[in-house]
Amino acid sequence: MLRFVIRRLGALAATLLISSFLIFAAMYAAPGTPESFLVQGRTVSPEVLASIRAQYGLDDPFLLRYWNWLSGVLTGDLGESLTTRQDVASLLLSRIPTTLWLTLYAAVIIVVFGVLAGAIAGLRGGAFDTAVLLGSSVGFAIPTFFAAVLLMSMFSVTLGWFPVFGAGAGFADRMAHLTLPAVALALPAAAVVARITRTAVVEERGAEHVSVALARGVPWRVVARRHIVRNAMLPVTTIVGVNIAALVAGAAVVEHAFTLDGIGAMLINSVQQKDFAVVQAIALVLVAVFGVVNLVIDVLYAVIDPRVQFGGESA
Amino acid sequence: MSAETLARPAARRRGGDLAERLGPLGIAAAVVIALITLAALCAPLITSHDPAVGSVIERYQSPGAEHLLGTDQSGRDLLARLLYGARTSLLGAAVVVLLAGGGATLLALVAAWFGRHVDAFLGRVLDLLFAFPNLLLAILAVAVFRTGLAQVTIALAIAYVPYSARVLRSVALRERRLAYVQAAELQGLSGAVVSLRHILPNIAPQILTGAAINFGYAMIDLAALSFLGLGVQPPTADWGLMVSQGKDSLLQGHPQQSMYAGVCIVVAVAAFSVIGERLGGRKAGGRA
Amino acid sequence: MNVLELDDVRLDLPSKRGDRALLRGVSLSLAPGEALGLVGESGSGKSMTLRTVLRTEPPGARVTGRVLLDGADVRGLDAAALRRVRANDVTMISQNPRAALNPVLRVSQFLVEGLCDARGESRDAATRRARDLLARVGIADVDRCMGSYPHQLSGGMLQRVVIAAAVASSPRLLLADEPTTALDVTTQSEVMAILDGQRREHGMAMLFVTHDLELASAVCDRIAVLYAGEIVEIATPAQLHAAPRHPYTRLLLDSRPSITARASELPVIPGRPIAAYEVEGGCAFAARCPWAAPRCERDEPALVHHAGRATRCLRSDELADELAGETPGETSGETSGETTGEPVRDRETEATT
Repeated sequence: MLRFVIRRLGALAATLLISSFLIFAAMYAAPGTPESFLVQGRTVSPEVLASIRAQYGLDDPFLLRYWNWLSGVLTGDLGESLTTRQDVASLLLSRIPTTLWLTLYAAVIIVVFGVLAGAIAGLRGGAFDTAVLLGSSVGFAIPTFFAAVLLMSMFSVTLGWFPVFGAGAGFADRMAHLTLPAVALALPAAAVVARITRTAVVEERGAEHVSVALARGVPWRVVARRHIVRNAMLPVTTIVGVNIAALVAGAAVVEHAFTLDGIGAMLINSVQQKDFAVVQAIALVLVAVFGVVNLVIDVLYAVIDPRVQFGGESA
Repeated sequence: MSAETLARPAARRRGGDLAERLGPLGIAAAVVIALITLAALCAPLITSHDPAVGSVIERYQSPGAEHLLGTDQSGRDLLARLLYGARTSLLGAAVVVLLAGGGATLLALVAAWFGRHVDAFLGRVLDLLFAFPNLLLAILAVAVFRTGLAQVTIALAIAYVPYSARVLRSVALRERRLAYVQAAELQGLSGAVVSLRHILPNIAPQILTGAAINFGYAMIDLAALSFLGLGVQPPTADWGLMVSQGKDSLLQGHPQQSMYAGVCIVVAVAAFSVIGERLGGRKAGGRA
Repeated sequence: MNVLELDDVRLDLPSKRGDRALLRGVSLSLAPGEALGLVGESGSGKSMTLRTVLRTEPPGARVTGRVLLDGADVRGLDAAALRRVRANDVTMISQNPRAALNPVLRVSQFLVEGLCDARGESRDAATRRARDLLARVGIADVDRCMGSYPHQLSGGMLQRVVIAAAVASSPRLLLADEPTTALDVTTQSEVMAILDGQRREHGMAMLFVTHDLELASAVCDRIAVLYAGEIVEIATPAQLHAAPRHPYTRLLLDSRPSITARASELPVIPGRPIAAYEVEGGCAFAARCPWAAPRCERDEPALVHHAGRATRCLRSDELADELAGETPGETSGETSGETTGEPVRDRETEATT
């Protein structure tokens, strides 16, 4: 178990290293030079330009610049924003709570509503099942940003139940501010999860071991919980995990729509302003979080399915 | 013995069979897509308004005889913008699907044909791309290629290749190991010929299914990038951009623009996902 | 009173092309402690008969007739009463133990569940009983077995676990659906011996479904032969072997390879087995029967009880000697010719048109 986790962590570290190179190279290859951004169209003397280039190390060879950046990243120095001249690491740290709360909130919605609705639909059938099937088809087709606009229109503008913008301060206020964004973010994923859960439960319901348990006189409630839902959770875990991992990037759209000050919105702004120091830092953070979430899912899956051996291959 | 006699019938689907696979809902979805496509193609015949030009005096008009669906914050005709926006949305998604499908197919065939080291190397490259969330990959690609419809379609196509390539690679690899392909190879036919003549037709159903499923995703993601200001730039008409531009109007009590465009996206995406689901015979899975 | 009595049980399964009859009136009875074998080809309805007892037939199936368990009709029980019957009075062993056990639960959980959740025994007592039961079905390392997941055990071991679970509640009736078919040949007899031993020890009656007439003869007191959803003959194994009264039984006996005599060619029952829903009046077996007379295709035979056995054949009396003979070929060259010759093929083409 421990060896499995360590091996996966090692693979993740290697992936991050190569990713960091790719990200840095992509930013390096991107059109528009940083100094042209720094001088912002003003005419400056070649001497000033040269001093700026020297200050940001822009004349160094590519690999040296990459090395300087990487060693900075490893010591927690993510560089300096080209637009605000602020330390990228502290900028990021101030933005992380919003994104963290938003994605956690959305993850809870996905798990609670997606899994619950799917499981009940699969177990009960009937009208609720039809409603879930229909709802998931529609929910799946609603883009996050349109869901955001819809929710804003309905609950903030028309009904005035929730604040339109901002992330709020304090737990209760924050939850109130983040409810609509989290719902918008969770909606398509919850729809997919509900659909997959329902299918898994229906499939598991038809399994022989389920009818055997019932034929032994085990009460339906116990069979539903221990045999049907528990087994159905195996494939569902992976889907839930994949969808939660994807929230990391999807949050950008919702943050932009609700003008939340999360790192996703910061990424979008930085791309538009060509603040590549910030873009590459955020990209690296997102890839790291994405990798860690995926790793946690794999470990979790191996824990809940006894047939998976920690070598990686299943028996 | 010629390779042809060993070849399996590639096209297993015929017209009647296709209708049966789609079912009533699938056929309805196909009709919806056909109608949207037709409306996009015939946009100038349906409306005489220019989607990019409006008069501020005519802003926020209610639906009426002159403007069937009303006007937006700049007084532009919403119907015209929806119709011309369909062009951008469909064309963009189609290009993404074509590029991603083509790239993935090429990768799959190369991996399957050469196998061993090439396959392992391509597998590693795909693994690396999988380390990036889809949307992040697209956003980074936009940062490199700059904004604009053409750039953003390339960016998305890159983000889509790994997923399609992974599915197609396994199918192509299975096909590659079949006796008739090996027989063709033993006759001295070149890798390219065998791949294109024998493997490609047999992975075609998977390519088509993947394309249908991706089309819906591509529409959503393209619209999302436009919504973020990274994709199609104003004043071009685009559904995603319309939702974005309509947001401010919506807060002022004019929800029409966002609603119309959003509903169009939802309907089109739902139609494509229904078709993808029916063709693939499986439910839409997760995305990362 | 009989433990189990089936009275004219019919089962129809709705399908795209209308309802399909799978059972066309099965009647049988089982005395306490008695073992009754249900023998027939696949699709003859033997498993379906078994499933009507615990009401585990496929969803949508319509069952008519009475299934009396100790005199009470199980078909009319409400959910709670049915669950009590399942937990206490009747248990079932299915064909494939690997599918019968939840793959992600340990053996101990499987065993304890049947005692604890189904019967309301305490968890500790149930665990002790489970260990004891495993030891009694010949499992050496009880601890390891209790802690194992199904994929870690062999098929034979798993079927022992299933047997242990089946006898745990000391039920009055055991339903066994080809319990050894999915096992290796070498473990088959071992598992069968354990099953039979446990059954006798607990004094349970058994309904034993198999396609192996020889196996049924070895463990059962009586054998019912099924064909196309109805019983064509019921008799003791001795009676069957000495003198089969139904042509189908005769052919079943002939089609088994004998260990004493080597046949140059194994006789095969001509034609293909027909399903219950394909029967259109007359004797269901007439199309494949070498002894069929014109009236066999016209009149439907009834199950006639006579001298402790029952047969469903219009000609069973006139054919008695012939069917009891050594082999059809030795008693009459003419019938031998018919077994493989023209008349059969004629009837087959008639049946298909």
